[in-house]
Amino acid sequence: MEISDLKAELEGLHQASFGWALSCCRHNHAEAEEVLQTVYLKILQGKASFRGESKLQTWLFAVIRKTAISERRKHMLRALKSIAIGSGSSASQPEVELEHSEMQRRFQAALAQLPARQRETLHLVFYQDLSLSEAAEIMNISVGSVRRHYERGKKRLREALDREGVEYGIGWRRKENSGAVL
Amino acid sequence: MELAGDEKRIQALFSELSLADKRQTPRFEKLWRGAEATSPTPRLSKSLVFVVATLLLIATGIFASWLRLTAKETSIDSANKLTPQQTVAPATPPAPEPQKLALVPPRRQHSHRQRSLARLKLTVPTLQERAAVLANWQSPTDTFMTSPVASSFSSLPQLNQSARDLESFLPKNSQSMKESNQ
Repeated sequence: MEISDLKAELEGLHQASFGWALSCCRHNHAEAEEVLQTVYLKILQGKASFRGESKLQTWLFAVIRKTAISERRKHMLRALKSIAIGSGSSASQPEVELEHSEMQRRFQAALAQLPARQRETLHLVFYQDLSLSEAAEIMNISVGSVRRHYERGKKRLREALDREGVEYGIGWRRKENSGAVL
Repeated sequence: MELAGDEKRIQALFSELSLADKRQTPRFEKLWRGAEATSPTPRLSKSLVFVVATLLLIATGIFASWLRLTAKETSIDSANKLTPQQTVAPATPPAPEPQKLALVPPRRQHSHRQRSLARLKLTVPTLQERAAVLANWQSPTDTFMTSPVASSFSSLPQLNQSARDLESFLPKNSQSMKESNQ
Protein backbone atom coordinates (compact mmCIF):
# COMPACT_ATOMS: atom_id res chain seq x y z
CA MET A 1 0.00 0.00 0.00
CA GLU A 2 1.27 3.45 -0.94
CA ILE A 3 2.02 5.83 1.88
CA SER A 4 -0.49 8.38 0.61
CA ASP A 5 -3.28 5.76 0.58
CA LEU A 6 -2.24 4.56 3.98
CA LYS A 7 -2.26 8.11 5.28
CA ALA A 8 -5.85 8.59 4.09
CA GLU A 9 -6.89 5.34 5.77
CA LEU A 10 -5.13 6.31 8.98
CA GLU A 11 -6.83 9.69 8.96
CA GLY A 12 -10.17 7.96 8.79
CA LEU A 13 -9.28 5.81 11.78
CA HIS A 14 -7.63 8.62 13.71
CA GLN A 15 -10.37 9.21 16.26
CA ALA A 16 -10.82 5.54 17.03
CA SER A 17 -7.06 5.16 17.23
CA PHE A 18 -6.78 7.98 19.70
CA GLY A 19 -9.56 6.49 21.81
CA TRP A 20 -7.75 3.16 21.85
CA ALA A 21 -4.45 4.89 22.67
CA LEU A 22 -6.18 6.68 25.56
CA SER A 23 -7.44 3.35 26.85
CA CYS A 24 -3.98 1.81 26.57
CA CYS A 25 -2.49 4.79 28.42
CA ARG A 26 -5.06 4.77 31.25
CA HIS A 27 -6.64 7.94 29.88
CA ASN A 28 -3.47 9.98 30.07
CA HIS A 29 -4.05 12.45 27.25
CA ALA A 30 -0.41 13.50 26.73
CA GLU A 31 0.84 9.94 26.83
CA ALA A 32 -1.79 8.80 24.34
CA GLU A 33 -0.81 11.59 21.97
CA GLU A 34 2.83 10.63 22.25
CA VAL A 35 2.01 6.97 21.64
CA LEU A 36 -0.04 7.73 18.54
CA GLN A 37 2.68 9.96 17.13
CA THR A 38 5.20 7.21 17.77
CA VAL A 39 2.97 4.79 15.89
CA TYR A 40 2.81 7.14 12.91
CA LEU A 41 6.57 7.47 13.09
CA LYS A 42 6.94 3.70 13.04
CA ILE A 43 4.75 3.53 9.98
CA LEU A 44 6.74 6.26 8.23
CA GLN A 45 10.05 4.58 9.06
CA GLY A 46 8.75 1.22 7.89
CA LYS A 47 9.21 -0.37 11.29
CA ALA A 48 5.50 -1.16 11.26
CA SER A 49 4.28 -2.16 7.83
CA PHE A 50 0.79 -3.26 6.90
CA ARG A 51 0.89 -6.41 4.76
CA GLY A 52 -2.84 -6.82 4.34
CA GLU A 53 -2.98 -10.02 6.35
CA SER A 54 -5.74 -8.58 8.54
CA LYS A 55 -7.99 -5.55 8.68
CA LEU A 56 -6.11 -2.26 8.79
CA GLN A 57 -7.86 -1.30 12.02
CA THR A 58 -6.90 -4.57 13.70
CA TRP A 59 -3.29 -4.17 12.64
CA LEU A 60 -3.18 -0.50 13.68
CA PHE A 61 -4.69 -1.20 17.09
CA ALA A 62 -2.18 -3.99 17.69
CA VAL A 63 0.65 -1.60 16.87
CA ILE A 64 -0.82 1.06 19.17
CA ARG A 65 -1.14 -1.44 21.99
CA LYS A 66 2.44 -2.64 21.65
CA THR A 67 3.75 0.90 21.43
CA ALA A 68 1.76 1.95 24.48
CA ILE A 69 3.17 -0.94 26.48
CA SER A 70 6.75 -0.11 25.50
CA GLU A 71 6.22 3.61 26.12
CA ARG A 72 4.77 2.86 29.55
CA ARG A 73 7.88 0.82 30.35
CA LYS A 74 10.08 3.70 29.24
CA HIS A 75 8.11 6.14 31.39
CA MET A 76 8.42 3.85 34.38
CA LEU A 77 12.17 3.56 33.87
CA ARG A 78 12.49 7.33 33.54
CA ALA A 79 10.46 7.79 36.70
CA LEU A 80 12.62 5.29 38.55
CA LYS A 81 15.77 7.05 37.36
CA SER A 82 14.47 10.45 38.43
CA ILE A 83 13.64 9.03 41.84
CA ALA A 84 17.11 7.52 42.07
CA ILE A 85 18.77 10.79 41.07
CA GLY A 86 16.57 12.69 43.49
CA SER A 87 15.15 15.32 41.23
CA GLY A 88 12.13 16.77 42.93
CA SER A 89 10.04 17.47 39.86
CA SER A 90 7.97 14.35 39.39
CA ALA A 91 5.31 15.90 37.20
CA SER A 92 6.88 15.68 33.73
CA GLN A 93 4.04 17.04 31.67
CA PRO A 94 1.12 19.28 32.59
CA GLU A 95 -1.95 17.15 32.88
CA VAL A 96 -4.82 18.10 30.67
CA GLU A 97 -7.79 18.67 32.86
CA LEU A 98 -10.72 16.89 31.36
CA GLU A 99 -14.19 18.22 31.71
CA HIS A 100 -15.99 15.04 32.45
CA SER A 101 -19.23 14.73 34.18
CA GLU A 102 -19.24 13.23 37.61
CA MET A 103 -20.65 10.01 36.22
CA GLN A 104 -17.90 9.79 33.62
CA ARG A 105 -15.28 10.37 36.28
CA ARG A 106 -16.71 7.57 38.36
CA PHE A 107 -16.98 5.32 35.34
CA GLN A 108 -13.34 5.88 34.55
CA ALA A 109 -12.44 5.21 38.15
CA ALA A 110 -14.36 1.93 37.95
CA LEU A 111 -12.60 1.04 34.69
CA ALA A 112 -9.23 1.78 36.24
CA GLN A 113 -9.90 -0.84 38.88
CA LEU A 114 -10.04 -3.59 36.25
CA PRO A 115 -7.01 -5.60 35.20
CA ALA A 116 -5.46 -4.35 31.95
CA ARG A 117 -6.58 -7.28 29.81
CA GLN A 118 -10.20 -7.02 30.97
CA ARG A 119 -10.23 -3.26 30.48
CA GLU A 120 -8.77 -3.61 26.99
CA THR A 121 -11.28 -6.29 26.02
CA LEU A 122 -14.23 -4.22 27.19
CA HIS A 123 -12.90 -1.16 25.39
CA LEU A 124 -12.44 -3.01 22.09
CA VAL A 125 -15.89 -4.58 22.29
CA PHE A 126 -17.97 -1.72 23.64
CA TYR A 127 -16.04 1.37 22.60
CA GLN A 128 -14.65 0.25 19.24
CA ASP A 129 -17.50 -2.13 18.35
CA LEU A 130 -15.12 -4.92 17.47
CA SER A 131 -15.84 -8.63 17.68
CA LEU A 132 -14.15 -10.90 20.18
CA SER A 133 -12.04 -12.52 17.45
CA GLU A 134 -10.81 -9.09 16.33
CA ALA A 135 -10.05 -8.21 19.93
CA ALA A 136 -8.15 -11.48 20.27
CA GLU A 137 -6.09 -10.63 17.20
CA ILE A 138 -5.26 -7.17 18.50
CA MET A 139 -4.33 -8.45 21.94
CA ASN A 140 -2.43 -11.39 20.46
CA ILE A 141 -4.25 -13.97 22.55
CA SER A 142 -6.78 -16.71 21.84
CA VAL A 143 -10.47 -16.06 21.38
CA GLY A 144 -11.20 -18.22 24.42
CA SER A 145 -9.00 -16.01 26.58
CA VAL A 146 -10.68 -12.88 25.24
CA ARG A 147 -14.09 -14.32 26.01
CA ARG A 148 -12.96 -15.07 29.54
CA HIS A 149 -11.60 -11.53 29.98
CA TYR A 150 -14.82 -10.17 28.53
CA GLU A 151 -17.08 -12.05 30.94
CA ARG A 152 -14.95 -11.41 33.99
CA GLY A 153 -14.45 -7.79 32.98
CA LYS A 154 -18.18 -7.18 32.70
CA LYS A 155 -18.79 -8.74 36.08
CA ARG A 156 -16.03 -6.76 37.73
CA LEU A 157 -17.11 -3.55 36.07
CA ARG A 158 -20.65 -4.01 37.32
CA GLU A 159 -19.37 -4.49 40.83
CA ALA A 160 -17.05 -1.52 40.54
CA LEU A 161 -19.83 0.68 39.19
CA ASP A 162 -22.01 -0.34 42.08
CA ARG A 163 -19.24 0.58 44.47
CA GLU A 164 -18.70 3.90 42.73
CA GLY A 165 -22.42 4.52 42.80
CA VAL A 166 -22.81 5.11 39.12
CA GLU A 167 -26.40 5.35 38.02
CA TYR A 168 -25.84 3.72 34.68
CA GLY A 169 -29.38 2.74 34.00
CA ILE A 170 -30.22 6.03 32.32
CA GLY A 171 -27.05 6.84 30.48
CA TRP A 172 -27.24 4.44 27.56
CA ARG A 173 -28.71 5.54 24.31
CA ARG A 174 -26.84 3.80 21.52
CA LYS A 175 -27.38 0.67 19.50
CA GLU A 176 -27.09 -2.77 20.99
CA ASN A 177 -23.61 -4.16 21.13
CA SER A 178 -22.89 -6.29 18.13
CA GLY A 179 -19.25 -6.77 18.99
CA ALA A 180 -19.90 -9.28 21.72
CA VAL A 181 -20.94 -11.86 19.13
CA LEU A 182 -18.25 -13.61 17.18
CA MET B 1 -32.49 -10.22 29.93
CA GLU B 2 -30.38 -9.00 32.75
CA LEU B 3 -27.09 -9.64 30.97
CA ALA B 4 -28.17 -7.88 27.78
CA GLY B 5 -29.36 -4.97 29.85
CA ASP B 6 -26.03 -4.78 31.58
CA GLU B 7 -24.24 -4.84 28.26
CA LYS B 8 -26.39 -2.00 26.97
CA ARG B 9 -25.69 0.06 30.02
CA ILE B 10 -21.98 -0.56 29.83
CA GLN B 11 -22.00 0.32 26.18
CA ALA B 12 -23.86 3.52 26.93
CA LEU B 13 -21.17 4.51 29.38
CA PHE B 14 -18.49 3.69 26.84
CA SER B 15 -20.23 5.71 24.15
CA GLU B 16 -20.32 8.72 26.45
CA LEU B 17 -16.67 8.20 27.09
CA SER B 18 -16.11 8.01 23.35
CA LEU B 19 -17.88 11.32 22.83
CA ALA B 20 -15.79 12.93 25.52
CA ASP B 21 -12.61 11.54 23.98
CA LYS B 22 -13.54 12.78 20.52
CA ARG B 23 -13.64 16.33 21.79
CA GLN B 24 -10.06 16.01 22.97
CA THR B 25 -8.65 14.17 20.00
CA PRO B 26 -5.70 16.08 18.53
CA ARG B 27 -5.75 16.77 14.81
CA PHE B 28 -4.38 14.02 12.63
CA GLU B 29 -2.19 16.40 10.65
CA LYS B 30 -0.50 17.64 13.79
CA LEU B 31 0.60 14.17 14.85
CA TRP B 32 1.45 13.08 11.30
CA ARG B 33 3.61 16.13 10.64
CA GLY B 34 5.25 15.70 14.02
CA ALA B 35 6.14 12.14 13.04
CA GLU B 36 7.37 13.24 9.63
CA ALA B 37 9.55 15.93 11.20
CA THR B 38 11.14 13.34 13.46
CA SER B 39 12.13 11.09 10.59
CA PRO B 40 13.19 12.96 7.44
CA THR B 41 13.47 10.63 4.40
CA PRO B 42 13.49 7.46 6.44
CA ARG B 43 13.45 5.00 3.55
CA LEU B 44 16.45 6.62 1.89
CA SER B 45 18.50 6.63 5.06
CA LYS B 46 17.57 3.02 5.78
CA SER B 47 18.60 1.87 2.33
CA LEU B 48 21.76 3.97 2.52
CA VAL B 49 22.74 2.34 5.78
CA PHE B 50 22.10 -1.06 4.25
CA VAL B 51 24.23 -0.30 1.19
CA VAL B 52 27.09 1.09 3.27
CA ALA B 53 26.98 -1.91 5.59
CA THR B 54 27.05 -4.33 2.64
CA LEU B 55 29.98 -2.52 1.02
CA LEU B 56 31.90 -2.54 4.28
CA LEU B 57 31.26 -6.25 4.66
CA ILE B 58 32.48 -7.00 1.13
CA ALA B 59 35.58 -4.83 1.58
CA THR B 60 36.43 -6.57 4.84
CA GLY B 61 36.04 -9.97 3.19
CA ILE B 62 38.31 -9.03 0.27
CA PHE B 63 40.94 -7.59 2.60
CA ALA B 64 40.89 -10.70 4.79
CA SER B 65 41.28 -13.04 1.81
CA TRP B 66 44.11 -10.89 0.39
CA LEU B 67 45.91 -10.99 3.71
CA ARG B 68 45.57 -14.75 3.85
CA LEU B 69 46.88 -15.18 0.31
CA THR B 70 49.92 -12.94 0.85
CA ALA B 71 50.71 -14.72 4.10
CA LYS B 72 50.66 -18.07 2.27
CA GLU B 73 52.90 -16.77 -0.52
CA THR B 74 55.51 -15.36 1.83
CA SER B 75 55.58 -18.51 3.91
CA ILE B 76 56.15 -20.65 0.79
CA ASP B 77 58.90 -18.30 -0.43
CA SER B 78 60.71 -18.29 2.86
CA ALA B 79 60.43 -22.06 3.11
CA ASN B 80 61.94 -22.42 -0.36
CA LYS B 81 64.83 -20.13 0.56
CA LEU B 82 65.55 -21.98 3.72
CA THR B 83 65.46 -25.60 2.48
CA PRO B 84 68.94 -25.58 0.78
CA GLN B 85 70.56 -24.50 4.03
CA GLN B 86 69.03 -27.48 5.71
CA THR B 87 70.75 -29.88 3.32
CA VAL B 88 74.16 -28.20 3.75
CA ALA B 89 73.83 -28.11 7.48
CA PRO B 90 75.77 -31.32 8.37
CA ALA B 91 78.91 -30.07 6.58
CA THR B 92 78.91 -26.73 8.33
CA PRO B 93 80.44 -26.25 11.76
CA PRO B 94 78.16 -27.21 14.64
CA ALA B 95 75.31 -24.81 15.19
CA PRO B 96 74.85 -22.92 18.44
CA GLU B 97 73.35 -24.79 21.31
CA PRO B 98 69.59 -25.05 21.50
CA GLN B 99 69.49 -23.32 24.89
CA LYS B 100 70.92 -20.20 23.32
CA LEU B 101 68.35 -20.28 20.59
CA ALA B 102 65.60 -20.65 23.06
CA LEU B 103 66.84 -17.61 24.93
CA VAL B 104 66.28 -15.37 21.91
CA PRO B 105 63.34 -13.16 22.91
CA PRO B 106 60.31 -13.86 20.76
CA ARG B 107 59.07 -10.94 18.75
CA ARG B 108 55.65 -9.64 19.21
CA GLN B 109 53.54 -10.91 16.36
CA HIS B 110 50.50 -9.04 15.27
CA SER B 111 49.36 -10.86 12.25
CA HIS B 112 49.11 -14.37 11.02
CA ARG B 113 51.76 -13.64 8.41
CA GLN B 114 54.32 -12.44 10.94
CA ARG B 115 53.54 -15.38 13.17
CA SER B 116 54.13 -17.93 10.45
CA LEU B 117 57.41 -16.28 9.43
CA ALA B 118 58.67 -16.23 12.98
CA ARG B 119 57.72 -19.87 13.36
CA LEU B 120 59.75 -20.73 10.28
CA LYS B 121 62.73 -18.77 11.57
CA LEU B 122 62.60 -20.61 14.84
CA THR B 123 62.17 -24.06 13.34
CA VAL B 124 64.97 -23.92 10.70
CA PRO B 125 67.95 -23.38 13.08
CA THR B 126 66.81 -26.22 15.22
CA LEU B 127 66.88 -28.50 12.17
CA GLN B 128 70.45 -27.39 11.36
CA GLU B 129 71.52 -27.87 14.88
CA ARG B 130 69.99 -31.33 14.93
CA ALA B 131 71.83 -32.27 11.76
CA ALA B 132 75.15 -31.05 13.21
CA VAL B 133 74.59 -32.98 16.41
CA LEU B 134 73.82 -36.10 14.45
CA ALA B 135 76.94 -35.67 12.34
CA ASN B 136 79.20 -35.28 15.36
CA TRP B 137 77.58 -37.98 17.37
CA GLN B 138 79.84 -40.50 19.06
CA SER B 139 78.89 -43.68 20.75
CA PRO B 140 79.79 -43.98 24.44
CA THR B 141 81.60 -47.30 23.69
CA ASP B 142 84.03 -45.59 21.33
CA THR B 143 86.56 -45.25 24.18
CA PHE B 144 86.86 -49.02 24.36
CA MET B 145 87.85 -49.14 20.73
CA THR B 146 90.82 -46.76 21.25
CA SER B 147 92.85 -49.05 23.61
CA PRO B 148 96.64 -49.64 23.02
CA VAL B 149 95.99 -53.06 21.54
CA ALA B 150 93.51 -51.64 19.11
CA SER B 151 95.78 -52.55 16.19
CA SER B 152 95.67 -56.24 17.14
CA PHE B 153 91.89 -56.03 16.86
CA SER B 154 91.99 -54.16 13.65
CA SER B 155 94.51 -56.43 11.77
CA LEU B 156 94.71 -60.16 11.19
CA PRO B 157 97.81 -62.12 12.31
CA GLN B 158 99.89 -63.62 9.40
CA LEU B 159 101.28 -67.10 9.04
CA ASN B 160 104.76 -67.71 10.69
CA GLN B 161 104.62 -64.21 12.04
CA SER B 162 106.03 -65.25 15.44
CA ALA B 163 108.93 -67.25 13.79
CA ARG B 164 109.91 -64.25 11.79
CA ASP B 165 109.88 -62.18 14.90
CA LEU B 166 112.38 -64.60 16.45
CA GLU B 167 114.72 -64.33 13.48
CA SER B 168 115.37 -60.80 14.40
CA PHE B 169 117.20 -61.99 17.48
CA LEU B 170 119.51 -64.34 15.45
CA PRO B 171 122.94 -63.25 14.02
CA LYS B 172 122.53 -61.51 10.76
CA ASN B 173 124.96 -63.57 8.60
CA SER B 174 126.53 -67.07 8.54
CA GLN B 175 130.17 -65.84 8.71
CA SER B 176 129.75 -64.30 11.96
CA MET B 177 128.35 -67.62 13.14
CA LYS B 178 131.42 -69.52 11.95
CA GLU B 179 133.76 -67.16 13.73
CA SER B 180 132.00 -67.66 16.84
CA ASN B 181 132.23 -71.45 16.54
CA GLN B 182 136.03 -71.35 16.13
